[in-house]
Amino acid sequence: MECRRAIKLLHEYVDDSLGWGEAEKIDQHLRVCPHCAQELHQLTSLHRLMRSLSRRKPPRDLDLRMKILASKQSTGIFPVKAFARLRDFVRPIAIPAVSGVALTFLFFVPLLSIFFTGANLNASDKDIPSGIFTEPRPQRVYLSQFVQLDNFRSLKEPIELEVEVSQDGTVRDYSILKGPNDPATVKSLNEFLYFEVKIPPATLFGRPTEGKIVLSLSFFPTANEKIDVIG
Amino acid sequence: MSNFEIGFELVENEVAFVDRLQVGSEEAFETLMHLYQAAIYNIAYRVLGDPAEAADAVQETFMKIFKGIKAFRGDCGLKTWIYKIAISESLNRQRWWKRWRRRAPFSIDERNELDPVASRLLEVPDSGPTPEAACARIETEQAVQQALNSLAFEHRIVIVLRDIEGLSYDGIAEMLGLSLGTVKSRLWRGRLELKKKLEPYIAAPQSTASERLAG
Repeated sequence: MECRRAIKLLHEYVDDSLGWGEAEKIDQHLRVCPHCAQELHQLTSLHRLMRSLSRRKPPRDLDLRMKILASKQSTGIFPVKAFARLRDFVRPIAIPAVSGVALTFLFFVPLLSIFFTGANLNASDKDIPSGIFTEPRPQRVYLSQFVQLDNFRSLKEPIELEVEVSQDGTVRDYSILKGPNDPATVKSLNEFLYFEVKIPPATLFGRPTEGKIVLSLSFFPTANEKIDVIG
Repeated sequence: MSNFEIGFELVENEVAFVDRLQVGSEEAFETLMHLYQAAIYNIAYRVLGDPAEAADAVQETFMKIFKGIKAFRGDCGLKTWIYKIAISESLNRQRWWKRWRRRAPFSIDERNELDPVASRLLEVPDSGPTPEAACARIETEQAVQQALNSLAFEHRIVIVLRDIEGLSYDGIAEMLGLSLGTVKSRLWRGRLELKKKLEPYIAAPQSTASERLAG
């Protein structure tokens, strides 16, 4: 090994940072080279001298200055501490809260669109009354060709009937309160009431139910041949 | 809790410790100062050669640590990060010192911090076997410090970190952001210069191979 190379490696040799192979080569070189041995001696002395330097004690006031500094700094970053506390508080409820808000949006955003697009909310004509109880509601009825009209045409006064209306709006039974009671009229009424008439049934809490209604039947011979049914 | 126990706990739970620092735990800051204050002061003192400047450098270093700890992401070790700040602060102070302090007037009545002998005499530890030995030791330390002060900063910092603080080559390279080869080269040149200046305190002053190579 040349001295130039050995001198450079001596520093690492002193620092004990050389690999075993190179350290061995340095050892061999040092045995035959007094100059490098002298260099090693000086380097080792320098190394020892530097390591022997006493560690300087910081000034006494530095400790106090540092404590004040630490106190100021921990106070100074109060927002950070507050944020950390808030984060610890919010973290456990974050998922349920976010889920709740998301679901609320999911359900209510379609409704919001109705409000903000100006769509009108009108009651349907086919609305079912939701009161406690409603009577059956009679309506104007047109007769079909199968009903014998002659008996009705001969009526001078309206026939008053008490009609039992079933849930599906069909007539279940009836009794004549006022008017002709002959078999021909009864037959026509049977055909008319049981097969032609369908009356919207009574409702209880909005659901169809059985009910009774008093009807007054009058015949007005017009082009459409209709009977007015007045409840 | 002893230094060793605190140090051990810090190594074991560095991530948790950094978390505590980042949320502003005063206790964590005190532990940090307890661990690093003396080491940073020593580095700053050896680099700057002035006790008051070194103390200011320590204070400024910790101020930067407190302010910067929130941004610390653990890309390097906490110790490396702290030493980097300390080295940077020492370099800044040394530049400032060179630029301004030399021009500043001083009073002969106040204690002269620039004179190491005057300041050391007040702080002589009673550890030597004899007063003569203590004085010889002070004289040697003074000579070493003066020799260090005369080195270029890039050489001085490497020597302080390696020969006085005993850090590894890899650690120094990481702290200074240098390659391993550059660290070794600067150490070699710095030691060569230092050896020349401290000849009376080391081996017999013979013409050595390194001087011939350097020449």
